[in-house]
Amino acid sequence: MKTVDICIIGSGAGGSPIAYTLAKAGFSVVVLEKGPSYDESDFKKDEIAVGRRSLYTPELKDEYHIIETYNDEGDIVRENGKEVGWSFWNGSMVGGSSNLMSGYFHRMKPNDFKLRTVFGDIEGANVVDWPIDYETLEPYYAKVESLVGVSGKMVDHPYREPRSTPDYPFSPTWEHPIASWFDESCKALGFYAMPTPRAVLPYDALNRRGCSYSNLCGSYGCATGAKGNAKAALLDAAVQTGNCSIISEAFVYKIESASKNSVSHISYYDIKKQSHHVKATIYILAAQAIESSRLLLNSKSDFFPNGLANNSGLVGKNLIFSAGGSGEGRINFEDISKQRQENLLLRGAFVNRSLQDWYEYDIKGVSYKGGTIDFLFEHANAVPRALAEVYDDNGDLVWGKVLASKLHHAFEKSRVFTFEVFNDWLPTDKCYVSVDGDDVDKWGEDVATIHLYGHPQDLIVGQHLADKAVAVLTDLGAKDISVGISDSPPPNLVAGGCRFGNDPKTSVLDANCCAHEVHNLYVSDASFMPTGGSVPYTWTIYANAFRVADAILQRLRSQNV
Amino acid sequence: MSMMKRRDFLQISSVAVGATIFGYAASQYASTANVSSTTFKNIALVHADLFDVKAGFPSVSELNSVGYLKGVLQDPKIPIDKKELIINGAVWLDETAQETYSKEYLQLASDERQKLLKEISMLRWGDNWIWTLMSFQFEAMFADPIYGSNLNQSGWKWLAYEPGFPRPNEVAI
Repeated sequence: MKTVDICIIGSGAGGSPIAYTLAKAGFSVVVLEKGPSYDESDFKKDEIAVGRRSLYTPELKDEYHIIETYNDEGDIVRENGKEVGWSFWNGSMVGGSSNLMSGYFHRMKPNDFKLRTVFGDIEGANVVDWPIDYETLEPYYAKVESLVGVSGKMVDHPYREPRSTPDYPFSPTWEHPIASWFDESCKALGFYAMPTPRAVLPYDALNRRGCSYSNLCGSYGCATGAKGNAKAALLDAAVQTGNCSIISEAFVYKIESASKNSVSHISYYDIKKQSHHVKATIYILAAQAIESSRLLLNSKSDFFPNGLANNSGLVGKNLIFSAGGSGEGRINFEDISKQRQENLLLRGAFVNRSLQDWYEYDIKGVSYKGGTIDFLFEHANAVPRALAEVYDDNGDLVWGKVLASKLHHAFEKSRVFTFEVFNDWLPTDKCYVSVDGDDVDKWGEDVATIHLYGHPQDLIVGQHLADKAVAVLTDLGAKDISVGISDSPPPNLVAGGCRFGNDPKTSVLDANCCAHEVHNLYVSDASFMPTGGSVPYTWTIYANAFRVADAILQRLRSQNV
Repeated sequence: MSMMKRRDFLQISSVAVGATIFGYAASQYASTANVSSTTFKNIALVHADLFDVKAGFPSVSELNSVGYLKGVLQDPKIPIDKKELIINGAVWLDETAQETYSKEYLQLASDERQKLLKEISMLRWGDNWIWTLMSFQFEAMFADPIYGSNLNQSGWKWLAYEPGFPRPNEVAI
């Protein structure tokens, strides 16, 4: 049995800061990753493999989820993900889904850490304050800026968060001319346009190459290492210490408990389904929220008959996603100047603009927690753009001359400008992960059932933000504007399931993300989050994992294990 | 026989069709466009009728969209029901042609074929089948030529599409 100081399950944004910190400090670390390992030279801009065949995620026939939703009558609808083609997988590879992110990095705001105190209880929602405040996490947000690499430019806006440094360590990436058009529109509308911080290096730095502006960033692996993915930013450096090894294609199927309060070892399958074991002083679980809860629930023992660290019955509960949705409008050549026509189709450059004017807002005396709107161009993948043209306004299929004309217009004489809304997915009793024992994956392990429910307020807030975004698109002259705000969960923006808190009766983890019931088990992915903020999660996951790493380091150095 | 009943019948018969078509391996994704069977002759003609060169589309042979579709039929990542739909639709098309014109699709004049495509596109299976064919035609059009389609980047050039870099140097699926 392999024996190390630290065993980390999952190699993404939740696990990599701990591997980096502990390996640098001289402790032996092993990272177990279910997916394969890719080098930057493996990452090609191959739309068929990546965009159309989901190269980086498990095949649903092998690994899937059971998904329960509510229909319009309030009845539960139970579906098998492999039968209906509903995937909750993200990047299954060393570095995890951080490989495939777009890298829109926003910090949570101080009030995000105390939503219940600021906004009070919301009927039907389990909103609680975090056991830590913004000031506790701020140094780690700053650490991520410099270590993972965040580019941007601070500007004044109503919800600018306090910072320990005046500005981002890296200047913004190459911006598309539409950013200045956007700024003009926002000025006219009285909105505070802000450059979007990006986990993308604009130039060579941190022993990585700068962005090549390939035009295909989100959903694709980064061929230069400019994107602040866990492997390029942290794991490669961890391995270089000689103290960290990464075992890829290692599926951890059980965390074994040694007593009523400790883990003895973990068990994993290699690609040939041969079983292996790792013993460690401290275990870190960071398999992404749904799978982390699943693994705990599947790790039953005499000491934990309901699953590891689950004598409270709280593991899997209060699953959250990012609420909101997206919208788009088409900017047509015929509606803009010759100069703008020449600039509109410029490829590679980033839009890099966000609005946070309504991070909090009042309507008729009621205060709402609002959110963030990020603006971007439609994804450059060509096949979905072409397929968007095959129906006419009546919903009838078109082909031949009509389709050819629509395609030329879509690709050569217009461009779709889009926005994404991020607001809180309120935690509720009806949104959670369970293991029912009825279905198994290719490993023979029970799969997770995802119970989905979106609180009605999520839609109200999302629509309020979308209305503001539509105002910008309208001012920009966009046509055919459409908005899709729904309670459909984005699988890549998932958190919760193992809340942290000070009370073992209401939380799975303590304030340092150590399991209340298991002294040598930490959960460091987004599972810990009781509420998610109104921003994409990745920066907060990185920052919190660095904070947890420091807590572990302190424990190990004081030999308090 | 109603359309619904015909569909049920063909879903059952497609199991045998599928076994012969899906059973061989390919050395690359798109194969050569061997259109010896009536099914594939129908599909090749429908490809040409949908992406008409007179409307400016690259030709079926420039895109090698039929060879690409054969690759799709062997692709383990494509669900079996989608593969069955591709084959069944070509058979249903011929049956509809026989009912309407007492001729096979291949024997119809251009305007008759367009009318027939319009007619089936208003039916659920027809809409589904044509959309599926077009989705893979677009894949053939925009795939890197390493896949054996989009020959000489004819699809990219037609819409002035610039691929991302680095481009793939091998088929990864």
